[in-house]
Amino acid sequence: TILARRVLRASARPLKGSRMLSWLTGQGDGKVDATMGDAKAVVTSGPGIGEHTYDYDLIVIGGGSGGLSCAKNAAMLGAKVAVCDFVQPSPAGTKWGLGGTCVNVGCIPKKLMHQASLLGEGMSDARSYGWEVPEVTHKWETMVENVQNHIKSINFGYRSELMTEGVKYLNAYAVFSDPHTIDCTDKKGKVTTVTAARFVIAVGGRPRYPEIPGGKELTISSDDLFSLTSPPGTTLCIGASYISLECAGFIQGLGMKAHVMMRSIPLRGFDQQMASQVKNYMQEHGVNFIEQAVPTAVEEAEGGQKKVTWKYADGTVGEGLFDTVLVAIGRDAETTKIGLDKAGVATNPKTGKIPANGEQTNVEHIYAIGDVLDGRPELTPVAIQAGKILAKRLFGGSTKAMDYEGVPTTVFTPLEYGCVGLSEEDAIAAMGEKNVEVYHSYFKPLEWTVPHRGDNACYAKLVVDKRANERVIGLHVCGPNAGEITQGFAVAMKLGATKEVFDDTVGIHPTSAEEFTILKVTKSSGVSAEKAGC
Amino acid sequence: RKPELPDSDSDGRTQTCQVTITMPLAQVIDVASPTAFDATVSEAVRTAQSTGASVVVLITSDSPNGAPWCPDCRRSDPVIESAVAAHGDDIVLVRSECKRNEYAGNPSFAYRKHNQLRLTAIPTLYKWSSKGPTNKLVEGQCANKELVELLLNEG
Repeated sequence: TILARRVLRASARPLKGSRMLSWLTGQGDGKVDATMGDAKAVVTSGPGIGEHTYDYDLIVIGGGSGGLSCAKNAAMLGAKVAVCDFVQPSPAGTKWGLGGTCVNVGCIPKKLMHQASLLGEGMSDARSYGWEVPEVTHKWETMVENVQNHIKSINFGYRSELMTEGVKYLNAYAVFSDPHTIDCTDKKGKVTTVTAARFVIAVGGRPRYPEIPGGKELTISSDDLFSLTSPPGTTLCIGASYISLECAGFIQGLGMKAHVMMRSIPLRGFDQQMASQVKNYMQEHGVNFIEQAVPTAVEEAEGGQKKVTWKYADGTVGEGLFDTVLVAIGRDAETTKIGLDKAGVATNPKTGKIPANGEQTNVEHIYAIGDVLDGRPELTPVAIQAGKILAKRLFGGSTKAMDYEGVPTTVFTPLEYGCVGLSEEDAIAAMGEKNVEVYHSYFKPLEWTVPHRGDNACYAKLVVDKRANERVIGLHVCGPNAGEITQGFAVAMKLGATKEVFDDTVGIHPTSAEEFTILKVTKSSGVSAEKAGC
Repeated sequence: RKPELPDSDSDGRTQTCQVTITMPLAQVIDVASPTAFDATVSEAVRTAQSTGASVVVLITSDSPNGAPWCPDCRRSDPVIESAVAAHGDDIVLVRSECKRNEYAGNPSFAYRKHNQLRLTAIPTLYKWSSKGPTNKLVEGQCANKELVELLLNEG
């Protein structure tokens, strides 16, 4: 999606010499140009390890995916490092341990609960395969306990890793008092002042709440869902983001009724054909979509339920009763209360995020990585890699830049959606319709045939650049194990693989991934992409 | 406390006596054999619950010739012993020593198959809640005093 935004800007200027064009045409030797535009490697200037009078060579603010990766790698290179991590409780009072959003209230519990819901589906399919499965029910509390135990072991693993690497851990909220000094307040209110030659801001973001009556007091967010002590029950997920859809998806899959309220389109920024595919599958599996609507109030109702009222785009109103209201309307960068003004660090006034050039902010010795970075993908592996590469530039004499292009990702909705590269609409906008071809196919995983599941649910498409030998610039797949399918192809696309290379690669049979090696039907031909036969 | 010395008696001779002061040590419970493990741990958990103590479980090697046959165990045993002792009544240590001929090269060793221990190497030090292990330290980690403290306090 970040790539998509650059593409749209590029179309306003001559393509020649633009960064986008250089990525699209690639380099014949398969190397990725690491010095593209503002992704240029910034080689740090400043004092070497210990060649200063500050307490630390590096202080990392934020102990999440990016922060811990940077801290650990810097320490391994000999730097004296401290990490400040502190979780402000959610409005509902939820807190968690070291590790950041992904580990505690993001990717990890999400994927585990998604898996829990898939297992339910699997047990149902199992009957067709001969298993005499009785009617099964799901116990939310057991799942939460086991998921939380796993998360706690990761929290402990990070604590012991930091200790082993000699990184000082401060469980305190860090606020800049000047460009080289932070005041850290622990949970008891005790303040410790520390200084550093360099800082990395990796504070990430937190869920945004709607400014409506009850919007904060009577709702929960992803901060709370994964540790709820009792099942959410009938749930309204407000938002069209992947967070909203993934949560609604597994709640429905675990046997409760899920509703999704969207202001406009699902999965903004993603390929919209694929987003529809995802949404339709969810609808067919019982999730109710309340479209073109925004909530206007959340009130207490009888029996602990919440009454939500909303307004449609055409002015009509609606209301409903839910056990739980989950808000997933967006996330805000945690930059408002950390004293950035005292450090002189600029933020984007629209997003609150920190713009950076090669992760370096406008203040030479202060860097930023992860979700707090303006204009970069908000993904754990991006933060981890950026953190590691930054540490090597700061303390290891490296000149390598973080490559933010061609980052694959997957949405873990009930029908998973994996993608890398451009959406079809962004490719057309950037290059013109006549220069884009799309190869596509509906498919049905072999495993779905016996239990008679979804005929036209799974779908794969390749978006190619006709001017560059049908170089594959976008890959999209809806289907089971979409993440596992997509990962390997991201490597091929980094090397500039063309449609011909995909065709020359022999498929593995019987798999879903092999679809990408046998795509024949183009959108431009108008021929149906539905499957018949073996 | 300084022992109170008796007053000298009337003819001027003083009496001396020896006083042994015993420090309260953490309670250490030895597991007789792998088959006794479950019962021993359950009992330890029960004891701990009544006193508000925490339980830790150490799987280590035995010392047939005066010293542990496993080098990592040799290094970590004293570290764990002193860390646990310093916590006094707050820690109950359940200790199980493995015989070399039972453990070494035996993929079916009881503790490897045990569905809570899932032992992968020795020494392993587990923090043990009433529901089973929460976190653990393995091999070289067990000889790291700071890590052992972390496990005892926050594991």
